Amino acid sequence: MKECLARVVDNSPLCDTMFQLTLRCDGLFEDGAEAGQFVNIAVNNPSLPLRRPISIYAIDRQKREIRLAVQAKGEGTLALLRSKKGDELSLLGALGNAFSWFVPNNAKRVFLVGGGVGVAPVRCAFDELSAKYDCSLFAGYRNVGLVYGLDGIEKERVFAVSDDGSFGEKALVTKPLGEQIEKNKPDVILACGPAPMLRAVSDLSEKHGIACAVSLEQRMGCGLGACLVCSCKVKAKTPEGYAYRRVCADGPIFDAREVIF
Amino acid sequence: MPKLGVEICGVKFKNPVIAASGTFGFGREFDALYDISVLGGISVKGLTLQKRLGNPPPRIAETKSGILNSVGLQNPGVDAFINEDLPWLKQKDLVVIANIAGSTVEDYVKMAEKLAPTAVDMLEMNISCPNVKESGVAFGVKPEKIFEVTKAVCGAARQPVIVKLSPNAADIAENARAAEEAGAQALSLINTLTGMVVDVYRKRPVLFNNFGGMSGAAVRPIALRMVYQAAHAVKIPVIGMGGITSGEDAAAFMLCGARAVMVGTQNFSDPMAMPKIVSELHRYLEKTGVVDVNDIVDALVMN
Repeated sequence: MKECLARVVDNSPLCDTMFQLTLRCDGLFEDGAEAGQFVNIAVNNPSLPLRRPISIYAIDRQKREIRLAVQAKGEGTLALLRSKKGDELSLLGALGNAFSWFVPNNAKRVFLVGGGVGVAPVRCAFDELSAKYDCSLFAGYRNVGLVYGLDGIEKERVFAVSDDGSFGEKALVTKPLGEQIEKNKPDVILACGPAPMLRAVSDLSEKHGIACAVSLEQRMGCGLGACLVCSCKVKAKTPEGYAYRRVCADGPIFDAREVIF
Repeated sequence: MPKLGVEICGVKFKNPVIAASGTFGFGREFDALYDISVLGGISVKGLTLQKRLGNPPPRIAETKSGILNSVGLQNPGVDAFINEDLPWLKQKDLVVIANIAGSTVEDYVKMAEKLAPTAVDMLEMNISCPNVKESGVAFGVKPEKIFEVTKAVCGAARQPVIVKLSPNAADIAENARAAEEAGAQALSLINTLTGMVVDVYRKRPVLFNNFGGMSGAAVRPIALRMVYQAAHAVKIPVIGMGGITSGEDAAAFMLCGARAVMVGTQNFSDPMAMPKIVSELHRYLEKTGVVDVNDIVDALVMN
């Protein structure tokens, strides 16, 4: 984990609301980067003091490049959208834990589940884990205009749906997930997406007795675990029955059984 | 080579740049990025007598050149700090300031007693946390309350006591004098300004706690004015903070009368901020032909 400068290699559209930044960043690879980890990126606008935590979408260790899938939403991400090839951006990373930590040693089949922006880190995990495990990717989108992250994957390994039926079946991602669990029960499910989706995936996993890890999102400060801002509620043997853990340093990926959604 | 060393209440700091409480934990996380011994000191995450879980998220919101936080004093409790974090911190070469917060005068006194036999170098009384209902406002803004709690803690403490003042006050000079009269050996200011950020589409405040403590570059002019007023109202040393992002910002606080400075929010923008601020302050002194950083303290010429 380091603070280092990254050079923008490419900035291109990904879908209606998202773009992808390809960044060359030698410093980041000194300590390595894994699927599920994120970077805290400075947005080159001094009036915005907070860095933006963004999960890694693709890793190219040979070229020492990472790709970030960014949703252009607020001022910070719009500043990133304006960055051009050759620009330098300060990165702090790679931060947090990795999906691979949650895959049991003897696992054979891994289901990866993403919703919207949350498809990015699970697509990264699909690419990283496919060499070792039998992986399938489940993705849910609001509509066809927001689809990304599926290119280059064999058709039989992708189960994509949309809220309005404009892409794939009109369904929640838990529908194809439930069907495939019945057919080919996986050893572990790894998920990232909106809280209701994570809750549903977690319930489904529990019902079938499948290990499940979820990647959480929260507004962050330092990204290092010092400021205690990005807390999430987990079950704990405290008088209150819960405790807060740091999404940045204890996560972003948690065992789904621990999380209080 | 300009000298950067300062002394506050007999405690020697190798330079006047101190990590502000709440942004730097107990130092371990930032030490993974750089050796925190390059800093003058650290004021640790606000400690309470008992462990506190803190507020539900979101705990942070952004505004132009500033942030608002409402962590709510999440910390492992003073005993856990003494047993688990202090031994590690004392291997480092920097001044360790224990920031303490309580909901009653007795809480503060008990913490000062627990810390008395430890290797902690100084105490900083957080009497102005805006994010905890019972503490915060109750002690931090009224001079008679500041006097009462400060006097009690100074009676129990073995280390020099710094009182951290809230900017959410009617008269900062009066509050500074109240702390001094009660026996405080130093002051630090400003704590955060109470504010709110609104999400107009959700029609809700961004912070779960609705209100939060504002910090960052946007508050710097207010902080400079208050540090100037406080430093000129008392004889005890003042530590200045509020939106410091550079060595020149640090110099501005020292010119206003601060003997040292604390850096908080900038650690989020740039995790390497404090080592940079130390070297920028050094460069500022060279540029202005000053041989000792103490020579810029209170050197401001008012119009």
